[in-house]
Amino acid sequence: MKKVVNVVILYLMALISGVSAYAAPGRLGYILNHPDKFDRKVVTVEGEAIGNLLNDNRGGVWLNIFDAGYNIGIYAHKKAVFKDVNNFGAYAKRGDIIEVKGIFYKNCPLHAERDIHAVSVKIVRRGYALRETVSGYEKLTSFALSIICLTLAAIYFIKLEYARRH
Amino acid sequence: MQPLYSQDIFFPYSFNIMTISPDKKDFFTIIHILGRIILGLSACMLIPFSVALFYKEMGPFYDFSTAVSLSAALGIVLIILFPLEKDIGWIHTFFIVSMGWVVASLLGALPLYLSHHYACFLDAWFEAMSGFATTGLTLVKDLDHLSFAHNMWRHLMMFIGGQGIILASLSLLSQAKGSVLGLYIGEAREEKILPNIIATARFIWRVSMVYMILGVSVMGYFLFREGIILPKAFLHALWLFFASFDTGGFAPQAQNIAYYHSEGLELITIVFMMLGAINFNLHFWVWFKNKKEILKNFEIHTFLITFFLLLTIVFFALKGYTSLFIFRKGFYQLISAHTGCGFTNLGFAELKGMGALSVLAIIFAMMIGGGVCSTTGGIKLMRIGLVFKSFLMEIRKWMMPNKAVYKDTYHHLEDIIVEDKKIRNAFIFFSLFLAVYLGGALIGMLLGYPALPSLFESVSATANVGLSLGITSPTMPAFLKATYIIQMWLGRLEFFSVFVSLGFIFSLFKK
Repeated sequence: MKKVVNVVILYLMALISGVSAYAAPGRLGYILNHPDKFDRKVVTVEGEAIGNLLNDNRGGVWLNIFDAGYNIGIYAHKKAVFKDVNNFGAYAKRGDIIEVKGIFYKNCPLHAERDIHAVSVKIVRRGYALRETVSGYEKLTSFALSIICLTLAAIYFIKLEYARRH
Repeated sequence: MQPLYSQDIFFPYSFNIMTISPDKKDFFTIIHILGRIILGLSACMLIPFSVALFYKEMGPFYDFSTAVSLSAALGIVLIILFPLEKDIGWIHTFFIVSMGWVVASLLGALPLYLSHHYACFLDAWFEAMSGFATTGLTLVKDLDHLSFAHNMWRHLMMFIGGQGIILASLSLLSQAKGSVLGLYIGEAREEKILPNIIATARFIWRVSMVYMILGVSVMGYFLFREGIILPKAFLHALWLFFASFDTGGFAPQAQNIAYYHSEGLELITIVFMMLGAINFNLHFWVWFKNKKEILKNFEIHTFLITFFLLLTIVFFALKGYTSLFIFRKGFYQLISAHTGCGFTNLGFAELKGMGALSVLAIIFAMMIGGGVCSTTGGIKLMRIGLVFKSFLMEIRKWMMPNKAVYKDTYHHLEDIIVEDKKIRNAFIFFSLFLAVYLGGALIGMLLGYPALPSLFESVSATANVGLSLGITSPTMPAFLKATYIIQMWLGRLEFFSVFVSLGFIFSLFKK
């Protein structure tokens, strides 16, 4: 409980005092590579929502975002913060591109990990399903190899049967 | 039961090995068995193929269809063209094991390469070798968008490799009879659990299956409660089980275990990592013979001493942080390193940020590894214990009168006298591992990487751990990728299968 209060106090202090190191959207990598510079400051990052919303055992919710090879967990005390996020990145799916404003923690006192506690989440671009394309060449190769494999298997079993009978 | 040690097997045959040189019929036999192993591998690929079919993943469906057909065709061609002309003997087992792992990783790389998530075939081969060797170092691009089928294959490779590719194929090797012992030992398993090696293999599978049902149920329920929908929750649980029990360290998401943001899940994975790192012989004794063995076992004692010594170092390095932080960052990384799992809840920068002292402690933990006859890599607890015991014995001998005879014992299933032969064996492996750790680090440094990360990455590859300080990436030089592939292969097979195979090849040139 004490930790939660500390986090809330820090968050309020950061907002009130205007201690804000604005990181341009899409600069998640820069923040993660310079954690001391942004520790406990309000940042804005942009990234693709990945996987699932995950329940935290303390009552909050997690959303992982991905941007240019970097990932981070975004934590919110209430699920409502992520209410507009509907599409999550997975195979053949692009997740919603979201802009998150929140406090970056190098070592979060509540979760003991590097995270961002979200204040607001804005949808920048809606996610979408990707159309899977398989080239004709790949289909043909696969089909041809299957035929070759089955033929070889047939030859092998005929040979085995012949050896058994003679 | 008298445990059987590798020195009892290798050294009595060493004279014969140097005088035997394989002929054409021997190579026919080896290639024939490799054909059967390839056929077994193609059968395993039917699992991710079915996943692709179930989830209607069309791209992966064709990737696995191609890989299954090609592997099966190759396997059948080898079986037909190279008939089994001799009974499998010692001469064949080393070739079968060392080449089996290379061929399996090359064919296992095929569906990965076709996924377009790897920059080149070398990267896919690296991933496959890392999977089979239960290392966990990865070169995949955009893992968060990888299909279920490919993720299933990545994790299944760890399960097959953790059990032993050849061990997994033993059922196909009915002709092997007595020589399966050579195949079993060739895959770096030092001890038989039951007198019959097939029964030993089956026991290892049985243990793994029981833990799998337990692990998937517990982790699946946990992930479901976290909000992951049911079929996906159990798939993730299955993959996390493969990665933790087989001490592999792959995960289905780019953030590895940190994706789940859950200390509870981390705690569960610790249990399975430790179960995987324990000698299967000890599992057998605890299950069927004597539960108290776990309290008396020499390997467990060695683990407790090395782990808590290293934890003390990490604790001092992280002094001032909260206990939750020390558990999640320090304790978890250290246990993941010591068991050879390689799960991490830290990014590269965070791991580096723990400081040189913590990184060194993690390197030492990776070097040591888990128990012999387990799924881990590294020097192994038994050998480390014997090396240190020999130091203590030497000191005691110096303190005794000249004519005094001093014998020391250790307890591993029974009280065993520390003999020179055992110490020599432990030192041989200790030196070989150390040489490869340092050799890989030197290559990393020659390619322009700093000393500490080079050593970290080299140890991680050789000891089949999978933790990384960031060197392992698709952009690293191809030569370093090839070096790590060889290190993972050597480390997993514990050198001798590869060395004996090379010895046979040289003997051919001598003819």
